Amino acid sequence: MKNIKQWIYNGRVSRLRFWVQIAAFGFFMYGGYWGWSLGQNLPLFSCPYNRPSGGTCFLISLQHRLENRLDVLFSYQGMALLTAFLTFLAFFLILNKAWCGFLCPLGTLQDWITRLRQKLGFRFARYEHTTFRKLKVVKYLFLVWLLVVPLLIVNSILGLPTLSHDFFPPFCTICPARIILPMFSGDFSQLQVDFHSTVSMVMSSLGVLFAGLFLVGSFVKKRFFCLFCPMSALHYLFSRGAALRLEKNGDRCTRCGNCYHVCDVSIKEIADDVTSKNIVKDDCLMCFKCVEACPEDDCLTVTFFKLPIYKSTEEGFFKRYHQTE
Amino acid sequence: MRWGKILGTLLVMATMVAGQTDVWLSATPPRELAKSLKRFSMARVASRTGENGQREILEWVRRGLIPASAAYLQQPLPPNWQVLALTSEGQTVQARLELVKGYLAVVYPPTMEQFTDIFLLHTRVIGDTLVHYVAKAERLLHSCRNGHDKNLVKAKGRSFENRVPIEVYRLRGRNENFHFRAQAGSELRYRVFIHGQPAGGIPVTIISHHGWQRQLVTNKDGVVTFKLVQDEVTPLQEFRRHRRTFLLRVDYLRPVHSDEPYRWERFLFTASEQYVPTRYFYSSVSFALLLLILTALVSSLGIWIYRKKRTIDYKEIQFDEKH
Repeated sequence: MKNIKQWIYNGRVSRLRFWVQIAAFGFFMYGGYWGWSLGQNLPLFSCPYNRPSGGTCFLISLQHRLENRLDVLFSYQGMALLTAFLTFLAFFLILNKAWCGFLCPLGTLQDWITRLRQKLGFRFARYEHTTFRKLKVVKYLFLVWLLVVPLLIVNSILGLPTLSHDFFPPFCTICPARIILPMFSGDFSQLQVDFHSTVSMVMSSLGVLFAGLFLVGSFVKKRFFCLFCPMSALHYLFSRGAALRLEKNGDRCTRCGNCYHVCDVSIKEIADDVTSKNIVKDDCLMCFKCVEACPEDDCLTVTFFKLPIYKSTEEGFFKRYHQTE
Repeated sequence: MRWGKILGTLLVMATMVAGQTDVWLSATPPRELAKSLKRFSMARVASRTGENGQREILEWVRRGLIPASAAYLQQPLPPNWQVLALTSEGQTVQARLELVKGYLAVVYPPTMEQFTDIFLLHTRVIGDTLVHYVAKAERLLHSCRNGHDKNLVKAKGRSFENRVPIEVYRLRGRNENFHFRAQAGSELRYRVFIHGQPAGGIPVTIISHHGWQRQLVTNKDGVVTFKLVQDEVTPLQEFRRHRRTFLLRVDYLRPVHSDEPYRWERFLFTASEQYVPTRYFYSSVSFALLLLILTALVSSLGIWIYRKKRTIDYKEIQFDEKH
């Protein structure tokens, strides 16, 4: 048993992640062709505009259910919203933010673009810490946008007129996944500017604009879009109760900074914070690259229902880096 | 197999008699026959070479009111259904109903450089109601190889009131020519004739390819105007050859004040035509593509300039060690 544990701790989780990502991409992008579906309340960016999808993003389901009169939302019909939310939570609480690191098709796509950049020999980019702190607020703004706008489309607040229905679905219309992911099943129809009203023209143009920024941004910055992802913000609200956790033993940390340097989203706290036990921050993808890169025994540990399933070891660190060389 | 066919025929007959069914004529062949049949003229109708070596046009008999998913009939219609094909100059064309590789179709020789109206007709008394079933398809068979010197006969007075009890006729546009194609977003005007006379107050329903419906009522001149709606996004792969079908349907009941053995007269009419996507669809795709490329270019340029600014050129500084 001890040997098996040691074998796992000394292994490369990024290699496992690479194959899981390919399988998950196939499942979430093309699963519908085989009749596979995990429903429409998944905590990842698997776009419903991609027709053969094997399960779709909770955000569109949330927006649809929120587009209701307030009295309807707070009646028995609100059960639909509650059921959808509980389904989302049930999925999320098992894997926590590893949905982003291992399963999200849009995240996988960004990782592939990063690999392409590495092959082509282009230099990568990092945000400065102050810029990073400013930009990370954007995802919360997107979350508020997608929660509030559907309500304002139907409900008049303080006697103000309701918003145009052309805003709907407020986040999906500007989401790059709506344009990019269907392309992988041969559907380019989302790439268009909708001229039927000013609102729809602006919203669809923003969608195209963000898709362009996504492609260029992901090329120079690892996991560029994840910093702005409202799903990530929603995850963080419930992250503390999840079964899968990333824990840090601050006493063991030498603040060497390896974890920060390998982090795709440049979370500085992973290296600096030596007091928190739960080290999952709002931008964390739970890709566990930090655990791989940590040279200290038992400093970073991945637990599932409090059972350690992967942890940093000195032996594993040197084995992995020896393999790389 | 034989019992299956008999049962199928009985089912078709039963539903027809019950008046529950709308059959209509379609230019689109069944999927499994599409590759084996040649497309003919600008109307892209399915065609084959007949036994006498002459080309024949095929119009498929379908049932169901959503063009995208309507079934193709695979049994013959009851014997009292008639086929009538007329050119826009009023000449009759020999047409017949035939099972083509298991699918029911109206077969007729091409009449080039003019409109051809094909009708499937059936009239019967059900209870105290005289029911007229009319399914119509209108095709403009034109090939540019034949030249464009012939005048397009746009409208000929409808003079077959004795043969076609109800007809919905598209009024031609002023600048309409041999290359006319109905386009999503454009307005189409139709005139309804009942027994050869323009009829006002008749409800006409337009049904687009995936089943979007709208019902309007004809004015006193029997004219109704529809704006053609595209209810799907055209895949870019079908940029040039994308054609979809829309249906017009009339179900009209009126009392009869005469010595006839029925008190009501019911008109069930269907007509199918093809339409192409609006050109604005293509322009919206072009704008999006342009915007995407521009965004990518501008942001790439921005990153390049930013990096260039932050790059510090290598400069060798030699220290004077003596001082």
